[in-house]
Amino acid sequence: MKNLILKLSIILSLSISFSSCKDKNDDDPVPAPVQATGTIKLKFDHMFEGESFALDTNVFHYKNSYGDSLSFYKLRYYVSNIKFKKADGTVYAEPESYHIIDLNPDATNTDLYISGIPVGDYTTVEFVLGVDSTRNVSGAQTGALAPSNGMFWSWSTGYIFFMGEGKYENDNDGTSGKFVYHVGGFSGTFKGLQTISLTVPHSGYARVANGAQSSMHLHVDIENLFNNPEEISIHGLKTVHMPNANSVKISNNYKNMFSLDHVHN
Amino acid sequence: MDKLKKIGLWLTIVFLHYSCNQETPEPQSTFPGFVVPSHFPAPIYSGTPNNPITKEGFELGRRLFYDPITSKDSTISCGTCHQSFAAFANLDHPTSHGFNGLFGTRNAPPIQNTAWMNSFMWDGGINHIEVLPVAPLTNPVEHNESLKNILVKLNRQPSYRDQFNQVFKSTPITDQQMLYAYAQFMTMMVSSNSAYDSYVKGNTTALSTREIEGMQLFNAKCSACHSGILTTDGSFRNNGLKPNGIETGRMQITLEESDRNKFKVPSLRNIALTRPYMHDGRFNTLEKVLNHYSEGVQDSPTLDPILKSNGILGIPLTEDEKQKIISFLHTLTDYSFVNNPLFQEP
Ligand code: HEC
Ligand code: HEC
Repeated sequence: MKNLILKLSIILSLSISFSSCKDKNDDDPVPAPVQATGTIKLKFDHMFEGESFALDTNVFHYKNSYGDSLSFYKLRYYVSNIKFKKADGTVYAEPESYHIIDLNPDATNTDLYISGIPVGDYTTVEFVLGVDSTRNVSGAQTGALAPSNGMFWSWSTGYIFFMGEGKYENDNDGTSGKFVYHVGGFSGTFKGLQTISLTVPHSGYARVANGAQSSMHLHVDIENLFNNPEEISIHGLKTVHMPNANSVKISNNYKNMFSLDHVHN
Repeated sequence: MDKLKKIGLWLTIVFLHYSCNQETPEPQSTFPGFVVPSHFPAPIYSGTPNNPITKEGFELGRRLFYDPITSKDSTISCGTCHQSFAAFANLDHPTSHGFNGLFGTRNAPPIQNTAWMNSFMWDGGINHIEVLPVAPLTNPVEHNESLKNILVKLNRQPSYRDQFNQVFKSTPITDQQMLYAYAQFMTMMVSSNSAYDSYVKGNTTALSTREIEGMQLFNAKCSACHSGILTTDGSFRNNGLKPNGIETGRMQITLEESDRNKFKVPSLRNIALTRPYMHDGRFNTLEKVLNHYSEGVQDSPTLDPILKSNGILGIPLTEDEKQKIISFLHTLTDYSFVNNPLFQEP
């Protein structure tokens, strides 16, 4: 019955506001400007030393510089707080900007479509690899930040920013096994948050036109995870499960996996 | 015509209203909502604009709290370990049974006055009441898939779908909604009606002379850490327990050597009901706890300075003083809380 009363009063207030709108429009015929906006597609193209990269459970497709032959069977990470910048310094920040890039076959998500961007020429994209500290301390979240996505530490509250899991076999010492890198950390000594800022090469830009889509094509070279600049061999570091000195090292490297290769306008 | 319709409508509304009232002799008024006791500080969590505490939300949280559907083999609910007669702690189990990992090594604390806590668990690893249930619900081995499974199970049950929809006005059921509901139930679990509370609020006859002497001793010797009306300052301290070789407490979260063997100062409300005591449940009586403070305190680099002031290790106490403090601790028992039908399994 509350519903009925609600409906009645909604109808009532709607009709009131409708008529008052009309009156107002009569006084002031200039319509409110509608901002022209378009979309940028961010394409995350994963590779290893420049060669195409895919998840695999069995075959070791790749090798790092320490003789670890390796494959990943899981690779997921948070991309958040996406901003696009124009040459004149104007910035568009996506609201509620939280995404999971996921290479898992059953949940693949490597393209982000950011819409509502005011028209213009954007030269730089900036994003955070991870989840800002605010959302780590604000209770139950939803969408990409839902704990059920499995990118969440329950016993020591915090998001897992980067999840890389796989197998390796070392050519030199004969060791083999699994590796599990779960990296996060939003406060204290061991932070894993990285802000990544990429500029379109050759003084180019992504042109956002009204109702149209352009795209920025990012290269994500996984090899950097092991050597740019921190030297991390898998046989020397098999598991990272919490924010610590090793997770910080990995985060210093994952910052450098990304480059902006080209744009399509 | 229109007028007639409207009148008819109003008549139906009025009629429905009357018949409703007749069918449910116990109306809304049994649900008090979240109320801050007059002698308590401002709460840290009292619901949010996204999760206002309502009767329906609270009842949903209570249903989840007691429903074993939330465990893998449908045998364990929150209520298995958090028992009402033990102020929602786990009576007589030094370390709680049920899940693997850390759960096997720690003593289940009572659930009470969570609205005033800024961190949870003995090591303070959890920073918000809304995300707390994720820890017991999922396996620490980080499979984390089980939250998804729980959602599948809940979404399969029409009665849950209806109840969630009634509270959150959307379907399907999400983990955020489930966590919101748990938070509503726990936030309502306020213990503020012990004899001691009555004394603090001005009823000077609520405590006996002996209990008042115990209170004075407690204030002098214990309240630096077990401070204020909540009997805790929420900090992490090393109270001189011999390390059990499994745990390093707060250090497990921060990795800082200076946090070694520090644990969250627990509230002592309802302490007479929540044995055994300490993070690993090593003491099964309050006498043993008091003996620890007077004779058992172990020195170490992180031992709280209060427990080695003036070069004396521990807190000097005579047998009589210990008994008086224990009498006082019994006045912190709040039967109206543990017996409150609102918090019992429906
Ligand atoms: C198997 C037994 C068990 C089950 C089941 C269980 N708990 Fe607990 N609970 C514990 C233990 C043990 C701790 C202390 C853990 C620690 O400190 O690491 C605890 C701690 C807590 C605390 C922290 C209190 C404080 O003072 O910090 C809350 C709140 C809580 N549990 C709520 C719940 C809820 C809600 C559920 C159901 C979703 C639940 N528990 C299920 C054993 C259990
Ligand atoms: C230096 C700070 C400090 C002082 C002083 C102190 N305590 Fe504690 N108390 C703690 C901490 C920390 C714990 C939890 C330790 C653990 O489990 O590892 C604790 C635990 C307890 C417990 C067990 C609670 C539970 O739920 O298991 C009781 C009972 C207790 N204290 C009583 C007292 C009494 C009585 C005094 C005064 C004689 C006192 N404490 C003085 C810090 C203190």
